[in-house]
Amino acid sequence: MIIQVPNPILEVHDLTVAYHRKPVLWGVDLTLPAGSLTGIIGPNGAGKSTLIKAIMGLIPLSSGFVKLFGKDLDEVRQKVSYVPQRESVDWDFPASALDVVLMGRYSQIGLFKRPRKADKEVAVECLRKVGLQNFANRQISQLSGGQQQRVFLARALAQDADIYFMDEPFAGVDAATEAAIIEILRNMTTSGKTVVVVHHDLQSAVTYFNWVLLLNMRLVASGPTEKVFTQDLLQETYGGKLTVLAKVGDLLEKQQFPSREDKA
Amino acid sequence: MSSFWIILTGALVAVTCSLLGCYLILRRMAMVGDAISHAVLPGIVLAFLISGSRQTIPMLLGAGILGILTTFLIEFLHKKARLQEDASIGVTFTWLFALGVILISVFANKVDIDQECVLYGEIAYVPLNVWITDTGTNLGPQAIWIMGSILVLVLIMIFTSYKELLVTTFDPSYAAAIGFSTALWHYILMSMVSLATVASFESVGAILVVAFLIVPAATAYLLTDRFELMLVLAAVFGILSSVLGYLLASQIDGSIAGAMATMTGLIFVLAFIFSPRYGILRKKNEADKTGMIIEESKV
Amino acid sequence: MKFFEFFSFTDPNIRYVVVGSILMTVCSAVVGCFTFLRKRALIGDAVAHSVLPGVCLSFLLTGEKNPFILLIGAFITGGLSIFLVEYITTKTKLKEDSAIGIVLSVFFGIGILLLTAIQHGGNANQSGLDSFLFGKAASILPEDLYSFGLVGIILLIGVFFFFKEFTLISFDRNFAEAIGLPVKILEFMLTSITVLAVVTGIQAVGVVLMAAMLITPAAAARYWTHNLTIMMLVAAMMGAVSGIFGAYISYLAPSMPTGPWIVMVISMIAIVSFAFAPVKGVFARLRKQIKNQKQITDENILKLFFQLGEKDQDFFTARSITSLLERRSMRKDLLKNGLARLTDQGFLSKTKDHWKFTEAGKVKGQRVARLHRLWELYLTQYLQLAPDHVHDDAETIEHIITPELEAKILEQLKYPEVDPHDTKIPYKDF
Repeated sequence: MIIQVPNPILEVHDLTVAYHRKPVLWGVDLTLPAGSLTGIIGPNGAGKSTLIKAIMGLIPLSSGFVKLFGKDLDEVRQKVSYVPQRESVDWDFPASALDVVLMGRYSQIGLFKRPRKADKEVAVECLRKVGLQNFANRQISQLSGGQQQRVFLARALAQDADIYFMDEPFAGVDAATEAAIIEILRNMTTSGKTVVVVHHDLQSAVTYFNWVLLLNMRLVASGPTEKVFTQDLLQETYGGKLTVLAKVGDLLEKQQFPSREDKA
Repeated sequence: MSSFWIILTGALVAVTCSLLGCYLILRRMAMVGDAISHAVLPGIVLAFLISGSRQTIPMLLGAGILGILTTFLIEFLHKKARLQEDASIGVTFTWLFALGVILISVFANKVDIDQECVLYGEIAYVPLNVWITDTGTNLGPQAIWIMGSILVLVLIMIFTSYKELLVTTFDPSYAAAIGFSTALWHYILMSMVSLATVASFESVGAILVVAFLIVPAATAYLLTDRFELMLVLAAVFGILSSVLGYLLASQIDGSIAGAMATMTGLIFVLAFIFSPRYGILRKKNEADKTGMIIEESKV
Repeated sequence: MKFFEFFSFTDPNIRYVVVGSILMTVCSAVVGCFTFLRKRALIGDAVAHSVLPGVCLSFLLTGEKNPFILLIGAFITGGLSIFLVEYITTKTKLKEDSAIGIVLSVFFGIGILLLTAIQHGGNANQSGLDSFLFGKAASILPEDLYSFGLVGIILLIGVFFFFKEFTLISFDRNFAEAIGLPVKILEFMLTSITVLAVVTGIQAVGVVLMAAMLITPAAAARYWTHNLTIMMLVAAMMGAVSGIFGAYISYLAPSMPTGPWIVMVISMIAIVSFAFAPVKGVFARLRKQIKNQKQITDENILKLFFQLGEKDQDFFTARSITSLLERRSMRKDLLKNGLARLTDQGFLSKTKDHWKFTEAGKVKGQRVARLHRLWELYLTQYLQLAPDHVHDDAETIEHIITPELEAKILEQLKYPEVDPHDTKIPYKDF
């Protein structure tokens, strides 16, 4: 069950992504409505992070294309923000929470220019929004996991984008922080932003999201939460890998076959 | 006066390398810096052989090309030949360095560099090699001018592109997502490392270059949590090592470059032991940290 | 002829030098295999550089160049360097690469400082110490050979007896711990052996390039085999070749440093391995890709003949290049080459400018068409892809499905009759 929407804010067409020629995502076709709070759900190794990395242009596509606001990513980068996984950076980096949030302004500032006072004010305001106003000058390694996650969120807010992709923002976060973050995300969507979140907890997913993508090497379902959260579809998503698909993937890697003939 | 020139040269090398080193160690590329500083040698020798003299421009060019080639080779071996990364680095730079030393020994009569000089430079001779203009004005040692220009270049890079370098270093995937080319900044940085290495090579040799690239930056990293301050501290420790190193070398009549490297190590050890936040003698700080987490849960 | 003079090995001095060089390079090549597999190649570099202050200190303390005493000094500082790299990484936020860089450059700086101080100090005994920098195989004396040889042999015996254990901790440290091996002790032994290997090698190769003798033979050997024992033998052989060559260079031109030559030879062997080794080499991979490309072209042509046959209800019509290109656009030169190959292999027969199926060709063309349609159906059923999105994917996958996979797909799809476009799926008894 893959529900397509008219005038989508995000369109993914026939997307296949491979590492070392082995596809980890097969033929994903999906559209998302603007203003949704979307969860990408699936078991470990299902390609959830891969999907948003592919959308953000961080890994090469074997086939297909991605359109945001009906355009290529490069034309609309300012309106798109990304929150990487917390573990993807070295938190021992000599920077304060404010320094990191300020990075959210970098794309607006322009090449070779430095952040100005106004940018700093925006960054401080974003820190306040995530409840870290008292931690602006704290070195980032001295923040707890949940606080680090909120710093990342504040950085994305500082970018003032229209669509946000977040990779596991609830990983290693305590319950209180998780509730605080989801509240912020809800506020964002009510004010017209679109938020896409990689998430792996089924229980909370039902209450958090109003749109859900079920993923396991391929897109199993995409649609409003209440329609997608059925026993059958969940069974299909979590019921193990498709052996044929996995075997064909292994063969492609072993035989060093191109995923698409013309991309050899 | 000559002591002054030697210390000044050392200090210029120190500041240039330490600043670049801050980026290298935060990008976990300290050993790539080590590799480049060895691998530029054949570039220097070839430039020497082709231009037939010890001119600065051909040498900078030759070594710059080799420096970039080194990063390409490491990446090629790692990505295309699928050799593990540490081995790619190790194989590449030992090979190129061996090539450089062989070229020197084969063309010994044509190339005015000897094997030892490659390792620990000829900083003591810096004051002898002065730049005299056509009108006969003595502008002081050439090395000072060359190193000075490279330092200015590095400073220009850091001042104009502070935020680009910062974000590509801290969080490359976010940087790429907001449209900053991580590859571009990687290669700009590597070019600067190559230039700094080759300009320093003659005066201080491969070893001191590596020491100055890595050790003062690492020392500064142990002492501060702010990147701007880390840059400043690294530069200060670099200068300090070159002054103390010179004094030590004249005390025991040994290699000046070796003594300067020794001093970078000594300062590192002091920071390693006594750093208020990260030294091995810290203890009470752990308590601070727990206190902070309790404070956080209220938010 | 210097060449024959050298390689007849009649001169006992030459024999010492050759045996010494081979022993030194072989030891480090063998131990290097573990270093390589444990991904600690660059630590080897730190150890090699750190040996220098040890050598100088021993000389300063004793005032003589007794190889055994120098070895002990080298062993102590070399071992210390490994300890310090680990200590710095665990105690501070500095990462391993920085720790290695710090230890390497500072130890070497101290070494150079001491070395130059000794040289300027005027002790007549010191001449020759600087050959530890870049190595000098020619200066290996019988008494050196005894001490270095002894160390080398201890080392090889150690590797021989603990081969299984060392292998296990290199591959899977956690597993080794789980089955109750004394991992800490074994790691310490392996570390000591690595330091010993470096210490042995320095007289021939020198401290500056010693790391190459740990890394490069192992890296090169890895391209020829998956078996660790064979890998070690290959690495040892490569090391030996470079060692002999180093000795020869040293004999030809006594003023030349041998280390760089040995490293150059072993690097060349490695580059050839990276490029030309079967299966893993860069060219083998390229060849494989070209072969894949040819297979794709050939199978596409056969499928094309089959599709045209379906349309005309006659599979054995002779067809021209133009008529083939009408149905499917392909690069003309590729098509021509493919037709020629297929004719050679007996899947097509050629008369003038026309080609037609042979029986074997039809079977193969039918199989490709069948796999294409099966995969399209699989994608629509199991991946819920729209029928108009499945063609491109099937274009690739049709070339790679093995008979076993085909059986499995047939079973899962319950032996379907038609594909998502309502085209009949052709079976063998079609």
